[in-house]
Amino acid sequence: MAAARPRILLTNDDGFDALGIQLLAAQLRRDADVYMVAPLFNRSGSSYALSLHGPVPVARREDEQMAIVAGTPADCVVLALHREGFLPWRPDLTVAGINYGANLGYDTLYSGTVAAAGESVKQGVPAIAFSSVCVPEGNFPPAHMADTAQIAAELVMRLVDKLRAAPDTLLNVNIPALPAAEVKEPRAAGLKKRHLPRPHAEMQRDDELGLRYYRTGYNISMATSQDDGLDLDVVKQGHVSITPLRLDVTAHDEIDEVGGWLKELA
Amino acid sequence: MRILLSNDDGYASPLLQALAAKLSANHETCVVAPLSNQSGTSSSLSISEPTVVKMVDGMRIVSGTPTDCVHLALTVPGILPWDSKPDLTVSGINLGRNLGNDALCSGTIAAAAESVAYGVPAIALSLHCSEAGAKMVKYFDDAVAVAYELVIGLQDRLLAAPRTLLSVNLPCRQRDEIKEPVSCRLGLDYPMRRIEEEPAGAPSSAHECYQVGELKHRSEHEAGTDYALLAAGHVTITPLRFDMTNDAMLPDVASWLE
Repeated sequence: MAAARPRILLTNDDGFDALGIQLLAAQLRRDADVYMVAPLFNRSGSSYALSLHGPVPVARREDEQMAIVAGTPADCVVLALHREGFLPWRPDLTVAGINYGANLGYDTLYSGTVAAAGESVKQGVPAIAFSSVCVPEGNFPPAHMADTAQIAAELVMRLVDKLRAAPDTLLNVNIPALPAAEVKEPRAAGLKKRHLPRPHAEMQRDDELGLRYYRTGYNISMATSQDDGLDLDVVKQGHVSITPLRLDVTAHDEIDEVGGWLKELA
Repeated sequence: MRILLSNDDGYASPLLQALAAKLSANHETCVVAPLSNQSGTSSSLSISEPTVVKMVDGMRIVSGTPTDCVHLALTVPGILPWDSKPDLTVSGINLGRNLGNDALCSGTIAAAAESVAYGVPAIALSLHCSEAGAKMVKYFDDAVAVAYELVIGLQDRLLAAPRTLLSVNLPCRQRDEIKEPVSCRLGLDYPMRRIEEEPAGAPSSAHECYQVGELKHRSEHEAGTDYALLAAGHVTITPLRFDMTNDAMLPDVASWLE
């Protein structure tokens, strides 16, 4: 066990009042000091977007150890970790979530939850992003959130010392939306490789004006699991999946090859 | 060749329009670009509100992010004017560089990444303007010419390797002062961002308010990074891959769970 209570920065992308973050805050506060810095509104799908073009108002609720940010999840973590004095202390760990809906495979890139965790790791504070895997996708809030929050908080306390010792760690955790007794032990798993198009509903069409209105749906990839040990496969079997992510998107193994292509041009 | 063009500065960007005009002389092109400036939107996908697409001759104007543009173009039949996928996606030319620390935050790169996720190889192009835009406009024609030649010169290689995602940064200077392109890695040193108080933006005196600003870059950059090579006058080209699994760390995490 850690000598002192861990200090945790808690954020999400569904908004400060979402059930996922509220239940997780209550669970974490049993064993840790928690300061919540979370978006005012639902900012799902906002990835690493920052509010670079306008001011970002913040409302404090000091009695609740909380700051509500009228911005993106990445704004929350950037304010917390880049602005001196924003937090009462430097956190040992950042926790993001629990997100409404899975963040698996390539969809992790769109996720504001995972991006918030990534922004933290950039500043040397290790981070865990939690998501609840509910079926059908979009049926929010997911079922059994209290159980999911308990599982997440236990995992945080179990891993906190490992993460303190490896501060460049970014973990993406998906927990099946099942009663705690039915959730199987966590497994390390890579992101699934196949990326499926999302469903798009055409809501309206005006050919005279050349206007089309589309609504981008939730991912439908839950149906396409293969027996491959990757994140989707693991959660479909009822396990918690844990994927370490990297922030360097350089394809290091292609640099020399591309260099060869450039020589042909010369 | 069928080329999908997008960007994050908005469809009206002169750098996008000039590149599209040059490419369309010998290729089939379709611009699918945001209505407004979407710089810094990263891989945002509009899932909370509808996205409007305005169909114009040779162009689609989208009320969303760069990722929305490419996602819709490649997955919704009838957005592009063709009955098959494009051969290549070109994103940019962005006004402003997109180097190492910006790679995950850039809408220009995000649009290209989204294309590769759906099997269409892509090049993201960004122009490094070391001074205010107005002083640099005289070099735009040269930048467009260099970008055009790169796209055409690399097309066979890209079409043969459709998982290729290239991020290109161009110095904004006279053609004969632009050094040859080099393939290099991203420089990642994660500087702090400038964050100023912005009381004028607060809804009441009970609120704090901030402006999230630019990265406070260090003055020196490690040799061999995109930062160092662009500063030396080269065109930099970095191959990227958006499969984010940290494979080397999987065994460690598995051992933590035992």
